[in-house]
Amino acid sequence: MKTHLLFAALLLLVLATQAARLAADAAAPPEPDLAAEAAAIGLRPAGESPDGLRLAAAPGCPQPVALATPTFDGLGAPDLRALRARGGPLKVVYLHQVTAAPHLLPLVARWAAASLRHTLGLRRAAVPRHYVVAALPPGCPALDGLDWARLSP
Amino acid sequence: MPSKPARTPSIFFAQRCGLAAIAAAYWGNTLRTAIHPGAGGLAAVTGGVLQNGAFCAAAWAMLAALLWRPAPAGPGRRADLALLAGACLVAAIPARQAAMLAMLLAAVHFARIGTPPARATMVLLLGLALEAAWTSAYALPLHAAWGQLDAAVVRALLGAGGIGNVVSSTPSAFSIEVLAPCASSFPLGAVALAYAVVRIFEGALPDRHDLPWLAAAWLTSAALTEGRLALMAQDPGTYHWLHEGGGVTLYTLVATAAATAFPLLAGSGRQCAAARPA
Repeated sequence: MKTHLLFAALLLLVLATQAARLAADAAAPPEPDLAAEAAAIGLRPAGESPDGLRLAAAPGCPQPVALATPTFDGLGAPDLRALRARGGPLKVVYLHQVTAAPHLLPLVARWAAASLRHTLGLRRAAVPRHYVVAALPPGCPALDGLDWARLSP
Repeated sequence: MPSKPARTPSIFFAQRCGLAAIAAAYWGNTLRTAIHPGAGGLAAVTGGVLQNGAFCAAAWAMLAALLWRPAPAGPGRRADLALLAGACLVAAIPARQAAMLAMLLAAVHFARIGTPPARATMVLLLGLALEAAWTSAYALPLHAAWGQLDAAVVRALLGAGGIGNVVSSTPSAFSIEVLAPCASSFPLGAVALAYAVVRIFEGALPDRHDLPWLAAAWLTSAALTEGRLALMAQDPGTYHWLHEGGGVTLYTLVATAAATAFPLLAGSGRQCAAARPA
């Protein structure tokens, strides 16, 4: 009898938690919108390049910065290749960390760890599946000093 | 050799409740990701179930049928009950990863029980858990990398241009980008689950003799996917027809038929081998 009650209670618990989660609004990951974040560090929108990259004019720099937001499921891979082809230094921004090269493995590891924390309730915001890559024009060392982490999704 | 203890009515009730709880966790998480916010109702639920895959629904139907049997009498084991209770507690966490873990724990429970229906239940739960993991967000980078291989194969087949995961058709100047859910690796978990479902439906458990047939099913699935990608890369009209038009239904039917054929062939092959005189 005790076993019957225990498992009936467990079944009701699962039904209740699933119903509650279904009824609650899902927190969607933020959409990639760089305009506000880029403006915060002094970058102004400057149209698009011929290969479809977003361009931003940087203070004190004659050539624009090129920006892209590739995702972990492969979307935006051509943009990433176009950024690399420019030959200048890169800034890769994800979860408020900035690196100089878009190595996928460390990015995926950070994403997986953040997703696990979100699942366990240790991280409130949903984890974005995209990261930001900026290609800096050569000959503008002042751009290194910008707070690129503010572009973090 | 002492025989494994038969299931008691208590443990049988616990198994039914446990499977119901894990099913609620599985479908709750599935529907939560399939139904858009603000769009509820029976149509949305039905669409969510179908979108998840016919063989997943079939696997759960078989699990219900396996447990809808009269319970034999005899002593049970406390450890088995504790394991199943643990699976239910994990299933109460409303996350897809928790549902996967709950299915794995329940599979261990049924492995310990050891009767033929319990082993079949174990295989189905393992198949469902692995399929869920294979199509989860954590596997997207793997499938994205595999998509680049697919794109290379399609470019070679068509003599098309492009680099990485892009296929650029020269005559029509139309390009497609092979993302993770479009890669030929993505459906392989569902193909394996379909194989297990059909074999268990025939009354047999998959074993090592099924591996060549499963490999053939996987290769066929990959070939179908790459054929579809090659057709989609031709022009926008074909792309839209195969991506969101009537071509989706046609592709699904062909892929389902292929996934069903190989386990049936494996079963008939075994029967022929058994019927041959020694």
